[in-house]
Amino acid sequence: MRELTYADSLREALREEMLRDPNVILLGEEIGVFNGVYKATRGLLDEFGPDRVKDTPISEIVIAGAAVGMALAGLKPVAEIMYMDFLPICMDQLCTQAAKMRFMSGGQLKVPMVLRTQYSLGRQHGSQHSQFTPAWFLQVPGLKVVTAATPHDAKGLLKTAIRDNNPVLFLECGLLYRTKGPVPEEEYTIPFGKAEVKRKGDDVTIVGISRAVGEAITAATKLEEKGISAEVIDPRTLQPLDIETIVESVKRTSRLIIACDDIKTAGVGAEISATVQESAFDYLDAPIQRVACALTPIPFSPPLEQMYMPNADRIIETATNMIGK
Amino acid sequence: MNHMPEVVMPRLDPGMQTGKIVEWLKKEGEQVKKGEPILVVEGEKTTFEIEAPETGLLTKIMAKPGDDIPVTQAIAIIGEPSIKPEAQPTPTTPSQLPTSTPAPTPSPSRLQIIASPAARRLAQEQGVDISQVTGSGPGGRITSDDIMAATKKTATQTVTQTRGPLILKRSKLEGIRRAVAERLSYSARNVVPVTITMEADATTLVALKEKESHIAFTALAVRAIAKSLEKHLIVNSALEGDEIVTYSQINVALAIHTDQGLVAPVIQNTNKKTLREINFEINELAEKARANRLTIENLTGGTFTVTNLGAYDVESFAPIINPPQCAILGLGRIAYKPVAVGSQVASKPSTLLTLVFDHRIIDGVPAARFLQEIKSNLENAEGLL
Repeated sequence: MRELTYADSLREALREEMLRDPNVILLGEEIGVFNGVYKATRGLLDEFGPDRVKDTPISEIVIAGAAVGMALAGLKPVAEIMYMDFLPICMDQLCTQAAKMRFMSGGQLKVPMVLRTQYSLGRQHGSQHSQFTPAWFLQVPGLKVVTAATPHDAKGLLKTAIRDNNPVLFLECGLLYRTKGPVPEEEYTIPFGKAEVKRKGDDVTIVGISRAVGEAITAATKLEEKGISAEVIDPRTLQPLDIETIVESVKRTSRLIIACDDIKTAGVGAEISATVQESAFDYLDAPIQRVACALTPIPFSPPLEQMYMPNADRIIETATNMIGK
Repeated sequence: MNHMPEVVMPRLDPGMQTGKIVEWLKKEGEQVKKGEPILVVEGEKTTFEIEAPETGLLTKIMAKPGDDIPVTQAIAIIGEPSIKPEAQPTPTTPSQLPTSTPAPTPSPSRLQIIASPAARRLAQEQGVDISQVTGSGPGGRITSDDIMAATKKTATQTVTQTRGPLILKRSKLEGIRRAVAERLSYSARNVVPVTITMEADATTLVALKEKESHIAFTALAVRAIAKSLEKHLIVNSALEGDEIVTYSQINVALAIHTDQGLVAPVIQNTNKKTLREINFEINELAEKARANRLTIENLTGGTFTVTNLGAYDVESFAPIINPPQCAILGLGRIAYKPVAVGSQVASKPSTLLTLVFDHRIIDGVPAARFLQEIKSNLENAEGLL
């Protein structure tokens, strides 16, 4: 199979959906003339023209607010927010307006918009340009939250997001844009709410989110040399969350680690851990563990940032301690 | 098993919250025998002697006379029997010596064993005694692997170990269940019950019930009992200490089953109430009982109890007396039965009335006369209106 980068795979999804549906409109900072900071929109302005690829002012409120308006008016906007750290600026548009309108209008209104954004942990972008905060948005009913970990999943999930009639927060990872992976040439989409078992195993289940999926797979490979068989699961969408696949796995392995680049306190791992023990308490051989970030601003210093980030070694250490080998 | 049995403040009445210590009959350091009275407690209506739950040394008294102690709170500790046998001044006769039993090996409690939830579940499913398993997990935690290993080991042994049946759940003896257990055990230990049974023709009862369908049989029975008690007040008595107390007030209590357990709310001044009032009050009490909203007033002051299992096809039964009351009436079902009328056999509705009375308080003849009165009242049901 041909290989594409994560960024090119996203670009292909955008292009295919723009060809498929004339209502799909892109908007965001530097996505047109500059071809996108991460090159996910490279060449699209030339191909589709300024009516469908819109460079916006540096105002996240405008981007998100315009997207909500476009969606209400019948278009299918795909807006890009350059850093996930800027989402608080458009919290009202996204969480209070977009996510609620369908419910408050009794289904008379639809808000079919996608808000794409990325987090840059590990790229020395400092405390205000590195955060991964998916859990904030898991408390917003009406909002779907997607995390893509591979080029293949990035394309399939983005196409599903664009076709969805509800607001979708599509979370990309800055460190993954240049990574390559197999992407089929033929058309495919990936359904929301269906986790993927990336690797089978018997001794411990590792749920990875976004970049941590790759770290979990690396960890599982090394754990195998120690005689520990790890299963790796990527939920792919956090809202809706495929808890059944995780619980089914934990019932077999009796141990669970959740690895995620967010802050450990009240993070994605906390939510998954709490939900899993509700259904699988009597199947656990060890307390559920989270491999995530400390409750501190992300350090700019490269060695400190490396120490701060979850990685395969930390997952390995956690798994070994849990099993006692 | 506990090495040091505690004496706790018992619940002598379903509504009882606390009990007052009147006096200690034994001193700290004295030997006590199981079943021997060791202190006097004042309950809601009367005082009770509390017996030692075990034989042993009364090692500690934790409440003094006058103290108001919440029910189930420990008030004394009874230690090992004959801790210092050589200290006994003179050899006692063998019958007075507490039987010396070997100290039981303490089985570690569930909490002392460090085992994962998965291991505990597997151990129960596989019938493995988890206290015999060594843990291989971090900190010695027993994991599901350890249980599986133990299962394999057991399987290779020649003799299969006997074990108890699988347990669905364990629930603490508490609340109403505990009150029922304590009250009825007290009754079974102390009362001298005699049971007498009489058949009553229910023709007029059934006819009345057809006319007044909203009136429950139980209400008719309660009314018949109240009227009968008026004429046979001796049955409306209780044994308090060494006194028989006969009440002028007639308060019939009614046993009601709830999801939490059995309660016996009281219809105060039953004989002063009409059949309709009684019927209404029974419905009200039953509703309150099911909603767990009965007050202490609802639950105290009963002078006689009636219990009806007729709705569950029970023919007749001998209930346990609700102390300190003197008697209880058990009602069976009303059914058509063949009866000899002269030389003919006819079919008539009838029911069996079972009176259990405390022979310490009343004798057989007055009890039988009382039951005849109830029978007569029920057989002439129009008179109950």
